[in-house]
Amino acid sequence: MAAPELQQGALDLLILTTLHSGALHGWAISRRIQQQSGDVLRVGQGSLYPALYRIEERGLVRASWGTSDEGRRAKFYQLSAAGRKALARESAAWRTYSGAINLVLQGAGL
Amino acid sequence: MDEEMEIHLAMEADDSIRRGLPPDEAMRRARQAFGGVQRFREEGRDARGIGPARDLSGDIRYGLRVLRRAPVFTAVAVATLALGIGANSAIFSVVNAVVLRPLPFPDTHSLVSAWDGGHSLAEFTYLRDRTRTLESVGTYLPGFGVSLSGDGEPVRLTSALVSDNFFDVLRVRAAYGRTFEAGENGVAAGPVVVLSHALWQSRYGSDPSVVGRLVEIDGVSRRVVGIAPAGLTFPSSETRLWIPLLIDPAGNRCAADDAICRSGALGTFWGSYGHQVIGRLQPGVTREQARTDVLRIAAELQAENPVWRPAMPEYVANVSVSDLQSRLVADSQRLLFILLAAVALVLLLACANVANLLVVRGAVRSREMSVRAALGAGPGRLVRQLVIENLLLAGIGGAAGLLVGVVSMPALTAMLAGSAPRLDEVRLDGGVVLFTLLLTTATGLLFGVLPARRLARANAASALSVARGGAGQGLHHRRLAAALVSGQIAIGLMLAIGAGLLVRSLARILDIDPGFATAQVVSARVNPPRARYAAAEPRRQVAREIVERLLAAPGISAAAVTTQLPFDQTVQGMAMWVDGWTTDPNRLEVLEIRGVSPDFFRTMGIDIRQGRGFTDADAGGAPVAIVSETAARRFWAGRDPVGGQVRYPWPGWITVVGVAADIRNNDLKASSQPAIYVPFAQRPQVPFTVVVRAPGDAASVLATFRSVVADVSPETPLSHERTIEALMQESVSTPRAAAALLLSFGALALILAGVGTYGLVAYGVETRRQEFAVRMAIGARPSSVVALVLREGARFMLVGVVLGVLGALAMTGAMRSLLFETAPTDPLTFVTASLLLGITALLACAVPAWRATRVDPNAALRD
Repeated sequence: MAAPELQQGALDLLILTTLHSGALHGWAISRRIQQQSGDVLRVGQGSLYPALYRIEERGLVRASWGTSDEGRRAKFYQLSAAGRKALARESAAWRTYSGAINLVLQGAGL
Repeated sequence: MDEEMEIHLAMEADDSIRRGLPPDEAMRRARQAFGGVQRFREEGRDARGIGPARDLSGDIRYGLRVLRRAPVFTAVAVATLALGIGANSAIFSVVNAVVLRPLPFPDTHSLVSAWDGGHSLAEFTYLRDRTRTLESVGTYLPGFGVSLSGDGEPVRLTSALVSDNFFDVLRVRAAYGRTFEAGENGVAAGPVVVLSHALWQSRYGSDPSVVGRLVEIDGVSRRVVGIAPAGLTFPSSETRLWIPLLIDPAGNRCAADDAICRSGALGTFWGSYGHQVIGRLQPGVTREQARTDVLRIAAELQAENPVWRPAMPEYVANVSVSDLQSRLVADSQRLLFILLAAVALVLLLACANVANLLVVRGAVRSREMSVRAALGAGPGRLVRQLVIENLLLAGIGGAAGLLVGVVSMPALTAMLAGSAPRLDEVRLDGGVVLFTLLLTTATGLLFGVLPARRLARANAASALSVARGGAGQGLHHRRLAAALVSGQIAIGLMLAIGAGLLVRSLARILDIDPGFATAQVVSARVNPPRARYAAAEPRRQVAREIVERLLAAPGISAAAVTTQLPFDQTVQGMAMWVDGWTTDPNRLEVLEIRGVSPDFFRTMGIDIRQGRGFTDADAGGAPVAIVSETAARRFWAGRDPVGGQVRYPWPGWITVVGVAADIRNNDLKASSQPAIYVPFAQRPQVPFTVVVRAPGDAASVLATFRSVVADVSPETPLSHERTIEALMQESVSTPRAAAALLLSFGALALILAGVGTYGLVAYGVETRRQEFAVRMAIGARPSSVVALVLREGARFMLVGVVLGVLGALAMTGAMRSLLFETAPTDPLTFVTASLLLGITALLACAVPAWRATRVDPNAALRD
């Protein structure tokens, strides 16, 4: 199956979700998304970093330089208070949205 | 950000190595997955630019980067703006100096001028002695050429003859020494002079000891009593010295029995117009009150001097009292404001061009806008960034424009010389800089806002979808650009029509036959020192000798003397009684009078229509005169003028012996006034002008002239040496300057409109390449493709022409006062200008149209 196109809002939500359990650096975030989605969703650098900067702009995450497990210097992102609130709100909305679509699809026998 | 990328790359490689790939393979894979780093870096940088760079400096830095990345576009836009803004700067600097800036002396608001058409010393003395509303009244005669010698090379300068209180009326004190004091206009006063600051610096090296020294002016030794303060050149920008007038109402300078001298003095006092009054209102007095006062004085003057001022109602009606500064600039104001309007139109044109360039660039920058919109920049944010970019572009263009303006100021003032006063005050000052700044900002907002909003709005909506010149956006852009180009064509047409009208008007003026020969005639004013040539006989003698010697010189075919050369000297009027016409001794006719030697008519090429010219015998014989055709028609209608009798306001009949063809005097556009010629011997005034007809090089003729005069009378300087041709050229300097300037603006407008049209059509062809390729692939002939492009071009061209014609019609009121015998709606001009613009636009369309046919169908379809 060809990798589906990730919509802008969906990617933001995924990143926020990934950061829910703790701070991560950029590469780790893309890796985690890939793993958690069963290798279906692959986020390339071209999409990841713009999305990261965007949500940093909106104040949903904070960034700071630190050291990775392998000893490399990397920029770590973590959720801010506003980020946590946004995550709760967005994930609820997403569940409602996708649930409604599923209902329609079932009704059509698909 | 770069660092993060590198880190991500390294981590990706590390991961591959851990999974078993060899290191270089791992790196290669990682890089491959990374893709176009550079492009992403840029996009990322742009994206980043929005966020942290919320402050203005970030926006500006970003804008500069954007401009640097498109050097051709930036260069063309800046050049266009520089031309448009620069032209406005230059014209504004002139308007600022001439009209807006107050005159360089204190309290100018209470200064007035009266009798704006010029008056004689009689009016001045009456006003001075009888005014109830003016606290001081002075008078001056501007533009009086003199020759200055001593302390260096003899040099010809412009002076002003002034009343003794002239500087006091202006409330100006001398920088060194003193100005004139009471009594210095009298016959008994010692000759004095005040030098201008500029002359003092250039000729006397700013040496204060010049005050008190003697200098020779027109052969008269005058004492320098003072130096004027810096910057004062009133009444005209060329004034270099001020000399007291000789006010002699009773002819006291003449010997008791010298009737001719006395009549000359009276004639000068009453009949030499060209003086200008300058007065200061008493505190609390309005100009209206002053006008009533002057009216009363004029009426009194007329009542008490019916001989010199016949009771004509126009005399009193012509009294006007106006604010001095307004009076000075009144003549040139119309011209200057028309020029200002013209350059404003040119700037609009330039803005349209740049706006078009921006619209085209908009298509190119679509992608960049999309990325930034995707990264969270709302439409408002994008617009702000774009507006700042455009203001930046305008700012660079404006700075370049200021430079263009400064550089073109000398050329502009040279072109306008003689058409406007105070041109020496034109310079770059705070006002001009401020104007340029405001204009630049307005320009930036004008050409920037519309394209910016379109671009931002179009792209914020569709996040990452990129339309590469797709039909939808292309059409949008094309419509806007087409509207702009129509506007450009309209403006170009308006300027072209304006230029055409002025050129026609100028041609009409130049067509006018002045009534005398203008080719191969040179003239010079001879200034025998009044001291030694006070009596009539020495004057006749020197004139006679000069003419005889000139005739004897090789290469000279005719020479003559006159007391007033048309277009060169102020008109002299004389009230005369015409026998058989004048019925009321209080209603004498005023004729223009000239004292001439017998060869005058032959030298100047003026026909004698009836009777005879003057001969040498007339010098000592019975008084005779020759009248002009207009005089003959008016005063001897139905009778034979030859044999008629006239006289001055005092007894002594003069017989008319001939009728001469009319000539124009001082104004080509005004119709001839009745004129009378008397033999120079019977009216030997000094200074007088000698005219010489000689084929060949004017410079050598003038050299001969100079040597003859030096021989005959070494202490007599010459002045105003020039060819009649040059004299006539000067008289049309204003219409010529107006036509020349408007032609240049028109040409500039034509180029800009042509470029705009070309750009628009080329862009249209570019975006429709596929369509043309398809058409030609299915068999359309190249000519039909060309026709298609031209048809579209013709559409917006027609709109432009219609708008332009409407605009030109709206201008008619303003143009009327500048035109001579040319209707502001002159059809020939309108049609010619429209055709010219149409052809230019069609040519501009032709190149892209031709290139449209060269589209390779296969290549275009593949794309």
